[in-house]
Amino acid sequence: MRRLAPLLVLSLSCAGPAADDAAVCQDLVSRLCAQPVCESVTQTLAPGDACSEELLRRTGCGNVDFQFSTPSRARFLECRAPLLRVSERVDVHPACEDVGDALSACPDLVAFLRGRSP
Amino acid sequence: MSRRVSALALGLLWASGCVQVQEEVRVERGPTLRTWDTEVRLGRPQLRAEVAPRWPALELRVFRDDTCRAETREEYAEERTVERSARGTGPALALGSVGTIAGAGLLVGAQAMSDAPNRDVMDAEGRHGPSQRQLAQGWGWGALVAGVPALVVALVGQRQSGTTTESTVQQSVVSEREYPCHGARVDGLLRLESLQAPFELRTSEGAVLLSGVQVAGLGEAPLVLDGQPVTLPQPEEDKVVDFRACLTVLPLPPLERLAALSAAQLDTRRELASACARRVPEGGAAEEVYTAALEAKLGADRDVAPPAGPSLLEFDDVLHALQPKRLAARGTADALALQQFAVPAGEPLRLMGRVERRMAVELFSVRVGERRGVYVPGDKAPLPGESEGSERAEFVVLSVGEVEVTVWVPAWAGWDAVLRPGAYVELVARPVDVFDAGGTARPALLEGLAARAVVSVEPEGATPPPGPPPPGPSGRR
Repeated sequence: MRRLAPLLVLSLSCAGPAADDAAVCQDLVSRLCAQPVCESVTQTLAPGDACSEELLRRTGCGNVDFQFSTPSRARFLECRAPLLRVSERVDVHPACEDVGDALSACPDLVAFLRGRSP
Repeated sequence: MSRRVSALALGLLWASGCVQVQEEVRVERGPTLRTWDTEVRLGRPQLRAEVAPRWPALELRVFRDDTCRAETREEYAEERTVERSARGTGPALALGSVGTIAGAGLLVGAQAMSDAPNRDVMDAEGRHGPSQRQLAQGWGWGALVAGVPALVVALVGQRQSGTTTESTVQQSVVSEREYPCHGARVDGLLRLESLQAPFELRTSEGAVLLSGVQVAGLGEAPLVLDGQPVTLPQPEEDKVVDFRACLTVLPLPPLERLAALSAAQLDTRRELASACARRVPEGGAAEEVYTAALEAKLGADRDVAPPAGPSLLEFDDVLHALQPKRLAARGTADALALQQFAVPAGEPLRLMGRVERRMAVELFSVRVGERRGVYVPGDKAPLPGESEGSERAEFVVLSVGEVEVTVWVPAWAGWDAVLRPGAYVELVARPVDVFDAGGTARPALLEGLAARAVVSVEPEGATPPPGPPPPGPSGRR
């Protein structure tokens, strides 16, 4: 195993450690609420002016010990994937078209973001 | 430990396989150290004959020679310089050293960098971006993976590059020549299958004595000893030719016969005597006699008108009188019939050909029962019948196309002028019975009756006799 360490380092050097569930959820909220907020978010989720605070409140992601139950972490990541088409960086605004795709394809995610179970 | 050594060895082997080493060899010849001669005996025995005049005979000696090769060899110094160079060593060294140093530096420096993940990025798997330490380590290993093999390749290439010079001593053959060597006399049964004078003699201590008649056949047919061919080198052939000249001019004829010869005949004989004198002492005396006789003749000819001699008309007379049905010329059936003695004795024929040479042979007129003919005595062979007298007869050898025939030219006036070697002539002749030692007759000899030159040749160095031109190019018995 020690002999394979350099290769392992090479393969892992492109990615860091897995983020916890709260960080993953907060990442999604920040992408959805990036200013200007896309119309699909406004129509579907109606977060109001304080978008991030409202969605964090509804989902409970603001808590450090937040953990996914429904939807699961894997389902959550799957629904989040369209938002990364433009960039994986958090501070880059996703395309509103991608945002619309993500919300329309994942009613369970919409339900989660509305603060109730799907 | 052994695994590491094996891995290192494999790595070096791989690296040496990647290195393309170019080799340039330069050979420079140094000074010559010594030169010497050697003789190499090649074997390949051959039989060779030498002749030595023992007038009136000719001694022929047979030798068995080996073939040797004389070689001149030399020894010299030689410098062999081998220059090896690996073309990619420079770039590989640059890449390898930079990659290795940079990789090692990044790996070392990575320990001092932050290990905190990049929280500004999160991928589709839900992972943060790599830390600075992770990035440095990745680049460091990448640089090492590229740099270390390149550095190894460069080092191996450098190790294999270089110049080596090797000095050696070489030999070479400068010149060589093959020659007969270690000659030893050899005994056996010596045979000559000549039509004219065949013989079969046993050599004693490699030598035999040949009579004048036997000498006449030398060169006409292959000479063999116990079935193996015997070569007669050119200088020996020259001796034979000169010896044949002696047979023509020796012994000297009586004075009254000498006086009867024409100036042209005397001049020819003087030339032959001169050739004879090169090999036989008696030839010198003969040359003097013929020279004196020629001068006397030329002196007398100044005062008297030259004899009319034979004319073209006489040749035509003979032709008209005999009306030969056969014509032996190049490619004719009669030429072949002549060679095979298929022309009956006494039947006249016309011959057209080129005079090759002349010779003199002792000839006997013979009667065997009711038949008359001539006998050419062989070596110690008895006469087949009753001899009616002998004479030293003159012959010309005539080539008729591929066929060679011998024509007996009884003492014609002026035949010397017509039948010169090299001249193209036309003859009227008829076969004469020749008896062999057993008394059997066959038409093996042609008796010339008349001749004329078609294309004549001038004797070499001959000065035309003063007075009117020589007799016409024809002769008659």
